[in-house]
Amino acid sequence: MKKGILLSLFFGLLTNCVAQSGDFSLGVRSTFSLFSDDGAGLGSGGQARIRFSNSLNTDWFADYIVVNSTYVRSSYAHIGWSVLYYPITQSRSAAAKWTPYIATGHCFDYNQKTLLTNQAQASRWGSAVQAGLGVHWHLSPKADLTLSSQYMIHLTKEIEVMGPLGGLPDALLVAKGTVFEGHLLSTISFNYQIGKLW
Amino acid sequence: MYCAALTLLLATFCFGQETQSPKIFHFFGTYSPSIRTTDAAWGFYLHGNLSVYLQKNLSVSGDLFSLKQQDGLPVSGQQSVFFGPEWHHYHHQHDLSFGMQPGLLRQTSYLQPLVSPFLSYRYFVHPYLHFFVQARYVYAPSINGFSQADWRFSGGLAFQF
Repeated sequence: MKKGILLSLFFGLLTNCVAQSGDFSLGVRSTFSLFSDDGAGLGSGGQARIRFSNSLNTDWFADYIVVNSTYVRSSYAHIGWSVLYYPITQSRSAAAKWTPYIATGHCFDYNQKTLLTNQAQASRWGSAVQAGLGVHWHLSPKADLTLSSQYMIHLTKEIEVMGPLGGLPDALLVAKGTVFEGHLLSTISFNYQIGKLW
Repeated sequence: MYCAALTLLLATFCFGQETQSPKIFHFFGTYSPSIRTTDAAWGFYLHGNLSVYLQKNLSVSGDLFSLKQQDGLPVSGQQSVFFGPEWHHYHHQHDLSFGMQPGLLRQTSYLQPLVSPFLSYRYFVHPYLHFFVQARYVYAPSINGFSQADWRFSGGLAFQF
């Protein structure tokens, strides 16, 4: 009798834990880049979302972000992933319209700078880590709007803008050493669950 | 012959009295006047749309704009593309919808990310046809105080299935 109850409890918990495991969603996103050395920028992109358990999800994203400043256009391509942890799982708040989460992950980035004065270009690859907070707004059992803000720190070579003292910049130089650069990425995305992977 | 045509017309008209919101997708092609927010320059876009319905009140829309004229002068090589969700609120033959789409502007030498909220109204006149009007704001970051951000207005006939 006791064994039966324990087994029922175990399988009940297991089912509850993995009920949403394998959910696969696709989404589109707009990203606002703030507080970077280049200035504020806007990005467009998309993401795939794969859920591993009720409390753990993952976003696999790609963004194209452009930051315009007085003399330089800076284009970033971000490809990365974030792990989303739900401190309040949906099993505990099934009727909830909102699901908050903590996110952290990695990202590879490609940056190309273009001088607006003479169209000179320079580019470099880099890597980054990001962490932040977000919330899903469930529009239906399959669709959600997600708002998130993550701070991303790049370890990268810097592209320096060169020019004569007091004159307009006329060259770009990829510095030899690596430096840390950061920016806040605020993203709004729409996601729709199109199936289950397992 | 005339009787057959009249019967077909009557049948179409009668059939058209039943409200039929789209089940799978709708699409349209139209011209779209625009006004740029920075300098109030008027433009004309060629605008194409395809929306696929995920649920009765939710669709994903793809929109393609090609700028054909700005301030009375012909323009080529400037396209913008958008993709994102749209929420529908039906009432009888009417549909008021709101959407928000990330997008990209392609100019001759570079790509610029965009974001565009929009409002649409549809009036269903037939199981396969509806009239529509749409107003959208396209936000583009400025370069040295100049931005490609504009308002775009579309309207006309659309097809639904």
